[in-house]
Amino acid sequence: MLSFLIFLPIPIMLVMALLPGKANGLHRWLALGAVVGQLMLVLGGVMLSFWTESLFSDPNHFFLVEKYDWIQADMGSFGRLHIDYHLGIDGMALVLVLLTALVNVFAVISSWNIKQNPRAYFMLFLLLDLSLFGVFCALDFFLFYLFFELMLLPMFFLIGLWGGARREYAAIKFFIYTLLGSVFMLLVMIGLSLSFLDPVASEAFGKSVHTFNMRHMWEMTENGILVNVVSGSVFSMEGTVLGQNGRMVAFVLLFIAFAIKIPAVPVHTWLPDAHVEAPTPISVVLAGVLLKVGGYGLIRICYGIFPEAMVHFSWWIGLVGLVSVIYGALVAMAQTDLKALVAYSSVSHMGYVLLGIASLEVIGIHGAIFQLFTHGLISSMLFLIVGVLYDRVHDRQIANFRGLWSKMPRYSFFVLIAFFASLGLPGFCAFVSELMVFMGAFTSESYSGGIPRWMAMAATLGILLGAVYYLRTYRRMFFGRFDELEVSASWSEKLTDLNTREYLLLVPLAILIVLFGLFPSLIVDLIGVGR
Amino acid sequence: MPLIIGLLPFLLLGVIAVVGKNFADKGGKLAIGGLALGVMLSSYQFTLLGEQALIWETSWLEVGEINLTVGWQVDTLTGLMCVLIYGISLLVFVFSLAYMKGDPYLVRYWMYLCLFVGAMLGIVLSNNLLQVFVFWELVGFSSYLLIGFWFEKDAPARASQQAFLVNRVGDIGFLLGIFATWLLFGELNISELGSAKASFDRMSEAWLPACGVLLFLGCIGKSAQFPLQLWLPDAMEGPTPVSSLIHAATMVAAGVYLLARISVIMTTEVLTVVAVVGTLTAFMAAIAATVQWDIKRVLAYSTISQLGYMVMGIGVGAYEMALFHLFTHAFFKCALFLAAGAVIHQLHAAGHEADPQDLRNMGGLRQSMSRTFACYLPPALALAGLPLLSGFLSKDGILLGAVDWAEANGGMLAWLVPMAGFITAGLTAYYVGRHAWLIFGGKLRTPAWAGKISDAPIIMLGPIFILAVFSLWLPWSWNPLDGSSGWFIELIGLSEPAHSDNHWWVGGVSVLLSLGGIAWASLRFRQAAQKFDAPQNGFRQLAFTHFFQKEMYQYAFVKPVLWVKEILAWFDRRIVDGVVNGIAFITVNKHWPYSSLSLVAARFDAVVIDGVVNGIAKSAASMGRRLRHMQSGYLQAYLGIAIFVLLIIMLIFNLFLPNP
Repeated sequence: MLSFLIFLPIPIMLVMALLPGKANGLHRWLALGAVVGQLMLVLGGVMLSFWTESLFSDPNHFFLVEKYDWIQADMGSFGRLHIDYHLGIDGMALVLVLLTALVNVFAVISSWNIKQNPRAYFMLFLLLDLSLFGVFCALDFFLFYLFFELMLLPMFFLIGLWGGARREYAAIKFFIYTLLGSVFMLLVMIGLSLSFLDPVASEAFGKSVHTFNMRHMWEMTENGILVNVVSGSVFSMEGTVLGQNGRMVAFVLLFIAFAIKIPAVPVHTWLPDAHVEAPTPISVVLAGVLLKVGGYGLIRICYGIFPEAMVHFSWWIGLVGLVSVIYGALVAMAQTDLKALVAYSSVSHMGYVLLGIASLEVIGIHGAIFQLFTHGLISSMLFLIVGVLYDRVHDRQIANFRGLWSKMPRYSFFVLIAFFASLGLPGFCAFVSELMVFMGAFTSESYSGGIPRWMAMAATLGILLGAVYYLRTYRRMFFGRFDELEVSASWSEKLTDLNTREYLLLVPLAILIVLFGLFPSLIVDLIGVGR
Repeated sequence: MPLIIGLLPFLLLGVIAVVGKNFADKGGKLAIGGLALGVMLSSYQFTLLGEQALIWETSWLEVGEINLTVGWQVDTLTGLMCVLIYGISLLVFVFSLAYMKGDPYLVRYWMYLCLFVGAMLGIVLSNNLLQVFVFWELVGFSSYLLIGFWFEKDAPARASQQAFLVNRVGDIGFLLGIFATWLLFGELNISELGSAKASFDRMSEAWLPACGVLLFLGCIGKSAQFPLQLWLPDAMEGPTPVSSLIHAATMVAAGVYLLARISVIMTTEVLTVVAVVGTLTAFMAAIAATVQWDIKRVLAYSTISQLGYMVMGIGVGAYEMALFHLFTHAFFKCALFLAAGAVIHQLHAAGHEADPQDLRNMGGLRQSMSRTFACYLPPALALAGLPLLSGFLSKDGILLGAVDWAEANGGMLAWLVPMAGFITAGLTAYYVGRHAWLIFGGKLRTPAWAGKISDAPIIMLGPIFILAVFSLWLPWSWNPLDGSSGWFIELIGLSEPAHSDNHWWVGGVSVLLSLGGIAWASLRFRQAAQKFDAPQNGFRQLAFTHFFQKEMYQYAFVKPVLWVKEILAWFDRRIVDGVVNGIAFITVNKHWPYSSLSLVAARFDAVVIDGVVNGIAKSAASMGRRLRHMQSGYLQAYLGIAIFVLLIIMLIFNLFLPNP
């Protein structure tokens, strides 16, 4: 089922490639068919079988597992190296798969008017879509890495070819930054495969079989002793690298890799550039799903494989999260471009994810995962909203707009929802996720000792600053008289209210944001299942 | 039942949003009908209430061992609050029908008001603090929308933003207080807090008072107490019925209501802080109210001052009296605001020659608006605290509580609280007298309006009249001089009614002070003609700006934040990103000697890697064309670095191999 979900775009991409480039509108219908098909599959197939499996079997494992031998190499005296094609999801992954399926549908609909070479655009988009699903389903580190790298390629071209004025700079910056993270990950991955053995295969072959299977990597006894580790290897508990504990070094390297993706301050500067230059739908995917890979990896891989290092570094991770929250919010406040403001607000909101994880509390980590989901929805909506204005007048400067409420009342209403949802008003889903994160962070000192209480208290400054930049922006753009500024008044003809396609995007998003705000357990109950 | 009562306004909101625009009044009568139903339902619910509170809850979010619930709790106080909220909202809605007639955004107006009513009911019905917080913020949101209702003007837009932000400061304190309560008491249910005992396994003992202060911070924000009271006077930029309902009668009282609910977990020190903050607020705002020229700002400062009384009442332990004052104040202040609204509305209709909100332009309206004057007088005197009116009963009770508290605590400092309370009573009477004389007394000071002013229509006067009736003593207590024997205290009274020996002299002094205040105002403003351009002395300036509070905050918080954000944005662009770009520059700059390695790599790259890239690119024809437009030299160089880094890493990788 998961393979089918992931590789569903492949035949559609083939069909697209065979079609003439000028087949008007056909490419987008095909792409829409692919993503809607995936959404249906997630809702009807994956979630249903997830549910039945969780009812009838031991809930503490992965669901919908597919495992096949893939690459097996004999390395002589060193042993064997096995790479499996190994997929499976638990609740956390399911939540993110659902998010991906949802956001991609919105992204395709908002790509409807791509004029320039739609065939290449939608093919690249589907490639991106494929790799995103793959990342969340992979259980083999090698496979994960492959999908992780695969995201890079289409993203690079989508920003670099369909982006704004400084697209090349932004695309290259995005590429190099992420590549740096990937290099670190590659390093750790190879070390891990050298340090861990597949117990079943080792017995079958009668020699040590090195594996990339993550499930073998995080298998521990109740006393915290790794089961499948090669004693004395780099990433065993005693292993060292350059005189340091190898596991700690590996954790830091992986953390940097994922912190770039999240992105956390100070490795965040690719994000505003990438967002500002990327076309609207790509910004939606970037903020809605791509950033989530960072948070996912941090929990699944950093915390999963190196739990004791996570405990060791939780204070620092909490600090990085706190700095991201406040720094991101303050810099967002200074932005003149609406899209850059939303981009920095992403930095700020993803800081809560780090804070929640660092709390090491159940509710904090659940909150972090839920925050990934809620931020995915809300940031998608925010970027779509920016796109509505940009489509009409090709301008995003906050100072150039005034009194839009009287000009575009329906649009203003949805902006109001998105802004207040993002600043954490109760009733919208971000409130619940941030509340959970704060609860975890605040109680952490009393229970797990992940982060001190002052961090939670200082981070609440983020919700105040968030309100400051959103309200200031709203007042400046939507309040006041429309004809107050010459610039905006001259756009009177162009600034029409929402059209049907935009309704189709904003209405479902608004409904989802409210739905999960009122009934968060719909998602949160899933998170804890499995693994 | 409580569910229907709580959800009814949200239902109305939905209905009006869908069908409201089809009506001439944009759904106003629909809303009024719904609220009338609400009044009936909540009154019926009230009659059902017995000794035992109605409590219901269900799980909302379960994570690990934490189970957050939603539910309601209806006891006598809640039941009364529901009736009060529905009742006053109904009157204000009826008033709005005339006041807001013809506004282009009328549908929105009804929707926002319904949202407010629903959120306010949510606060009183909720049985756990977290749920209170949810509605607490929603009330703030509806207040934001309504203050900024006339969004095309700059002042309301700014005022709404300020109100939301200042409230959020308080809300954050409240939220942290909730977390602390949860850790200390292991309980968030309001009904259980009374019996919960603090344990200090999870938090140190110092957190117990801190928790109280943090929770109080929420109340400080919402009920406009020192030091967060600055938003309320500016909130008067909203439509007057809104000021009346939200910023005088109900929402701002939410803080006091909550404080009364949670005062059980507050330590003595915290209650002292509460009392002092309340007293300070009451005193400062009363001084500011004496010099304002805007008809609504006088009332706004007066509201702050009266809320200060209530908070002081809770701080000194006169908790029933504080709630009593909450109820009486809701009626007489609402009436005063609506009367002020009627005046503004009629003056606005008389012509645009002068500002219809400036007291200096009014005068002599008792002749042309005699019925409005008749409805204005009882609530005004109730605010001044004269006997035979409701305000006297409750304010007297709070002052008495303060005196008893000071007596019990001993010490000269403790007496400052009741002392300031008494002075405030005198000041209150003074500014009420000034307000009344400037509007209704003397002669009209704007000649252009002469003869054009008519009395308010009956649809406006009706609600004011009903509210004015509730400003008399009779609806509250048979005894016009003693509130503690009234039905209200009997109903909600949890402790034994205090029979203090101080009662008679406290009442006497406050009556004397009130009379004195009114007399002084009468002397000063009886003959007030056009002589208001009196030199602005220091005190007047200080009082008019409410002790320069806004200016101080501007310099202490707003400016620094605006400054820091610019610095950080610069830092982000130049330093953080500068380092990144710098590294890129150094490694790809052809003249930099150390970058030769990258050049070598780049050569290799230009042949092999670029060939592959171009190969891919060719498959999508135009993509390749565009690629050539890209600064491919840089791309190669960057890829060169990447390969270089990889080489180094592969060297390091050798270190990882276990020794054979």
